[in-house]
Amino acid sequence: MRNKIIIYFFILLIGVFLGKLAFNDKIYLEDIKIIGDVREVLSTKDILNLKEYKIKLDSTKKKAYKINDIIKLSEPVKKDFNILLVGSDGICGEISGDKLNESFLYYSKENKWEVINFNHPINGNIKKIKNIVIISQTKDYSYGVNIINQEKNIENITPGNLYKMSKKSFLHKQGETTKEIEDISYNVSQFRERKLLPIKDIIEYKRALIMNSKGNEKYINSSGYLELKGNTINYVSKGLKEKIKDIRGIIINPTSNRNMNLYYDTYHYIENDEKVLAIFLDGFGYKQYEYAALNGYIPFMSTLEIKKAMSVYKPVTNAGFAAMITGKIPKENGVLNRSYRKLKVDTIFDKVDKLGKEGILIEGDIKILDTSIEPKLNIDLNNNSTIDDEIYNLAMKEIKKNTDFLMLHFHGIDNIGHKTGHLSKETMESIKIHDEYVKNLVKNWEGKVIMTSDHGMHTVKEGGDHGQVRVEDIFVPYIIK
Amino acid sequence: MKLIRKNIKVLSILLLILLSMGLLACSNEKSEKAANTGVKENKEVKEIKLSGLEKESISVDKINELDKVSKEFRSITSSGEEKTFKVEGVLLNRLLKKFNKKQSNFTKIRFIATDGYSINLPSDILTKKDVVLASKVDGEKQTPFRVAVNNERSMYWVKDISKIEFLEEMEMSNINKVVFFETLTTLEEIKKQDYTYYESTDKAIKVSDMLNKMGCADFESVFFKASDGFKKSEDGKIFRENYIKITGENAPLFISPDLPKGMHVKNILTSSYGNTVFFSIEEGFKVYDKKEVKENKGIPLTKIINEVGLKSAEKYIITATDGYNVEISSKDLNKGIVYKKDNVYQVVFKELPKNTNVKHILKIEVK
Repeated sequence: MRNKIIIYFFILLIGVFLGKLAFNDKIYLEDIKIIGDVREVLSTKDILNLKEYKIKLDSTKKKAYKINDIIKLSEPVKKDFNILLVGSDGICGEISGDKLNESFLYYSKENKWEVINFNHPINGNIKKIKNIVIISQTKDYSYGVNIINQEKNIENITPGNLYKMSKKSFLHKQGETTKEIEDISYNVSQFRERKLLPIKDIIEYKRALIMNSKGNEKYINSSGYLELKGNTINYVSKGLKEKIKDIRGIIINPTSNRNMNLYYDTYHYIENDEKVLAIFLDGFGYKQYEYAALNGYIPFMSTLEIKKAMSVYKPVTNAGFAAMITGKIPKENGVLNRSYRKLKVDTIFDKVDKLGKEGILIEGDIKILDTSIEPKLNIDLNNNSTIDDEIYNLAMKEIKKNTDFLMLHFHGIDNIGHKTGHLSKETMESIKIHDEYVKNLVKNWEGKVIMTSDHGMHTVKEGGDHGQVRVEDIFVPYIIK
Repeated sequence: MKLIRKNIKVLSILLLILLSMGLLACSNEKSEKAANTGVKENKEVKEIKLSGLEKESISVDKINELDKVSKEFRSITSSGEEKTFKVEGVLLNRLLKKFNKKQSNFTKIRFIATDGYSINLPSDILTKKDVVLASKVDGEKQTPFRVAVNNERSMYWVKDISKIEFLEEMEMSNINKVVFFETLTTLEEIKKQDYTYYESTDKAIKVSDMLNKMGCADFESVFFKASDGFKKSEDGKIFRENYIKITGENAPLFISPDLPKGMHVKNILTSSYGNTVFFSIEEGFKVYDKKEVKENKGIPLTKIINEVGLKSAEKYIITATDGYNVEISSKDLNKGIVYKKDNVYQVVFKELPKNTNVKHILKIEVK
C-alpha cells in the first residue's frame, strides 16, 4: 500500500512537470504582429487559429503556419506587395509577396517566431520576428496618405512604406510610479519609445492642412510628425501632445477658399436682403475647369472670376454636399461619406428659414441628404439619359417665382466622368452643356450667383473615380457672380 | 479479467497524469490574470483614506452607494497592446461631487494601493477623461476598487486602492486682467489697415499688435465667445498670426485671408487668452441689461467680471489709455458701470467721488 502511494505521488509529479512544459509555451508565446498595408492587423492569437502544417527541420517534423495563409487573413490592400520580416534584434529581410509558397512561420523556444523559407537563401530565415510588414509596391495615390499641393500630387506614403522610411526616435514620458517600503520611496519613470517621421523630412512647407478618415481637419505648421500604428498613419504634433488618427492627406500651403463657403456667402447675402442662386455641378473639379477653359468648352464660365477651392475628405457627393450646405467639416456635420445622410447641424436652408425667407432645392431623382426641406425631385421625362435638362427646365420656372434662395444640383458631369474619365471628350461635352445652363441661369437671376462643386475626379482604367486626397478630387472651382 | 484489471491500472495512471496537468493549467491561467497586482496585503480594505479633501476617509460602502456607471474602457500595456475591459463602478467626479469638487480642480490626484504602489494622474487626464473607481472589471470583483481610465496605460489602472491624495488644487480662475477692446483699438500703436469684406472696405487690426500692447505671452489657445452665444477655441498661433476686423458688418470679427470662412468668428464678445480677456463693450451692450448710475446707462461691472471670470481679489486697478488709474475695492467695483458717452467708453461708480470716474477705460486688473 505504501509503495503504491509513493508510485502515485511520483506519477503526480511527472504530470505536473509535463503540464508545465506543455502550458508554459502556450502562455508565454512572444507577440508577433502583421501590420502595414493590410485591411486587418493580425496578432499571435489570430495566427494560432490558422491551420498547422508539418515541416521538416533538422530531420524532425515541426508544426508551422503557412506565410501565405497569414498574409491572406490579413487582406493586403494591393495585389503587388513585399513582406518585410522584422526581427526583435533589428535584423530584417524583405521578400516578394508572390514567392511565398514554401515559406512558413514556426515557433520554437530558442528562436521564438521564425520564418523558414525553403526556396530562398538562408539569410531570409529571420529569427525572433516581432513584425511582418506588408509593403505595397504600387504607389497610385489610391491608398495611404497623399501629400499634395494646389497644383499636383507630390507623394503617396502607405503604412507599409512608412515602416521602411528613416524616422527619429523619441522617448515619450508616460508617467512616474512610486512604491513606498518602510518610508523609502522607490520611483520608476516610464517612457515609451516612439519612432516618428518629421513631415518636413518629406517636403518643405510652412503651413499645411491635414485631413483624416473621420472627416477631421487641422491646420499645421512645419513641426509635425507621421507615426505608424498597425495599418494606419497618424499625425503627431510637436511635443507629442496631439494626435490625429488615420490621416488620409496633407495639403501643402492650402488655399483658404472652400466649397463650404457656399454656406457663409449665401447667409451673408440673404441676411443683407440679396437673393442667391447656388449652382452645384456634381463632380466638376478644378482640373476639369482648367482643361475645359483652355480648350474652349466653357465660353461663359471662363469669363467669370473663379477661385480654386478645396472640398473635404472624403471627396464624394454626400460629404461634399453636406459641407457646402452646413459650412462645417464632416467631423462636425456628421456626413463622412456616401453611406451617411443624416446631418448633425443646421443647413443653410434652416438658416434661411430662420431669417423668415424661402429656400428651394432642386435635385435629381433622389433625396441625397436628410435636409429639413424636401427637395424638388426630377425624372428623365424625355429619356435622353440625363435628368439635368429637366432640372434646368424646372429651375428656369422657379427663377420666375422670385425665391430668396434657390439651389440646383446637376449630376450629368459626374455621371459621364465616371463612365469615360474626367477629361474625356464626352465629359467635356457635358461640361459645355452645363456652361450654357449656367449662362442662361445667371442671365435670368436677379441677385447673387454662387457656382461650385462637391468634388472633382481623376481618370482610372474603367473611366473616372474620386474619393482621395488628390489634386484632381479635392480642388473645385468656386464662383461668386 | 486480468487484462481489464491491468488496463484499469494503466488508465488510472494516465487519468492521474492528465488530472495533474489540468490542475496546473488552471493554476497558470489564474496567476496570469493576477500578474500586475503586486504583493497584496490580505486584510480587507473597508475605508479609503483621503487627503486634500475636507474628510480624511470615506467608507467603501459609502462609495458603493453612489450612482454606478458601466463602461467599456481600453487599457494600453507597456508593450503598446490594447485590451478592452468592461468596467463597473463609481465615477471619481461623482465621489468628488460630495465634496463640491471636480477632477479638474486638481493638478494631480495620487492613487495609492495596499502594496505601496502609487501613481499620479496628471491634469491633462483629469481635465479630459472620466476616471472610474471600478468595483468590477470584466465581472471580476475588485478589492475594493481599481482605477480605470479609458485609453490610458495600464500603469494608471491601480488595483487595491487604499488611499487617494488630491494634490495641488488649481485656482478657480487665472484671469487677472480684462481689456476693453474698443478702447484698445483707439490707441495709436494699434495700426488699422483696410480689409475687404465682401463688397465693403473695413478696418482691421493685427492680433499680434493687440497682444504685444497688452504684454501677453504666447499661449497655446484662445477661447472666443460671441454675443449670439457661439463659443469656439482656436489654436493660439493661428490667433496671433491673424486679424480682428473692427468696423463694418459682424465686427469684432476674427478673420484672415488665409483662413477658411468656417474659422472666422463674428461679433466676438470675449477673447480669453492666457490670463487676459479682451471684452467688447459694444457686443456687451447687445447682451446685458443696462443699469443707470448718475444719469448714465451702461453695463454693470459685475456682469463683465462674471462673464470674463476675473479672479476675486480685495482690490482692483482701473486704468485709462493715458495711464490714469484708480484703485477700487471689490465691494465698490459692484457699484460701477461701463458706459459710452460722446464716443468715449468710461466707468462711473454709484456713491463714489468723481475722481474714481475713468474716461477711455482700457483695463481692469487684479491688484
